[in-house]
Amino acid sequence: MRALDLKLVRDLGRLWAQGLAIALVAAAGVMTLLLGVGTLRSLGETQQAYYERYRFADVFATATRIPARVIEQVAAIGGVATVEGRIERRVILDIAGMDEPANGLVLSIPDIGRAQLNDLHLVEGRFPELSHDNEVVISSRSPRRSGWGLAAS
Amino acid sequence: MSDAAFRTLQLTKTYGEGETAVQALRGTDLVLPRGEFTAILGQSGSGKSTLLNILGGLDRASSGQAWFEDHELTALGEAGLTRYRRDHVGFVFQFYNLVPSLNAVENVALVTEIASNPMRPEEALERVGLSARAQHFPAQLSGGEQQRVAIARAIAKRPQVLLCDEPTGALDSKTGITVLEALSEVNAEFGTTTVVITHNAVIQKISNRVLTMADGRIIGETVNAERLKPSEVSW
Repeated sequence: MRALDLKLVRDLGRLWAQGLAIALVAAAGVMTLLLGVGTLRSLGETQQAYYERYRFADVFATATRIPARVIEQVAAIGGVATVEGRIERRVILDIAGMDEPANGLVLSIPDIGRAQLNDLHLVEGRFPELSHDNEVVISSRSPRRSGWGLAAS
Repeated sequence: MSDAAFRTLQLTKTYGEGETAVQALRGTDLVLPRGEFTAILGQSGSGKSTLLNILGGLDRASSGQAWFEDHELTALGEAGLTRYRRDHVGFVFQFYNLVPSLNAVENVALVTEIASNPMRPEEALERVGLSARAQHFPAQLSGGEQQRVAIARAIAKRPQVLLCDEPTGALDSKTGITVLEALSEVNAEFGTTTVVITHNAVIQKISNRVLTMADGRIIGETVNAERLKPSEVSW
């Protein structure tokens, strides 16, 4: 064996503990990286699957006081696959047990069938029925935080 | 071919630039005959090491010319200087520069493995009287023995010149003398041109030629009609 090779072998032999520590740190780093990449990819795929399943819109636009026919005109634009109009309103809610009024966002849902875009994932209960004008769907975090429950139907 | 191993002409070396510039050599002229044992004396900062480094191809001059035999060192590029050092020059440093993880014979083998016409590492160690310590690592050797291993490593490739920078600087008198004996024997036996820079004025007594440097110039040159043996000096 050449003297320089011999030197390398002996120096590595002398530094085996440090070498092992460095290898373990590097292996842990690689493992963390792989886990992170895997998690990121999994979250991305879950997000895409959710968006596909509930037909999440690519573009959102807000307009004030426009006639319903504008929705048809937007649908006629090349490349637009689906358009759905909603009514959106920010409201102040006076909730029992809260010192200050809460901010709320009221969104309309289609009155015929399920939404073509931005469909809702129902965790509990059922969708409002057309004939009932006193039923709502509430974002899942709000009732839990406020201690609300389902009304008996 | 010239009888001179080394010649220099108006050699200068400046480190740094502007106000912080330090002129280490200020127009040095010298001729060192082949085969001689030369001592270069001088205070710290007189330019000895700079001159030795330029002669050994470890550093480049700022201006002037330097020759080794018929090769103009100051005209060589990095590759040329590397080839010159590998083929012609052996170095001995004050602090030995041995590889701690290699034993004596392996330290010498570092050089013999890349030299074109080397002697066997064991033979080089035998020349400096260290055959019995061939398998010892530097940490198991005394300072004098380590320096003799360094000399063995320097002579193993049969260099034409041996350049020594304070070879006894870190050694006591008795140990230093064994090192000087090794250098003198190499010089006498192989005709290796040997240049030793030192603070130790005693070394001039065992030299053929003594140069004295001050402030980047050679201010004195004497030739000894008779040389003492290393065993006849002490400090």
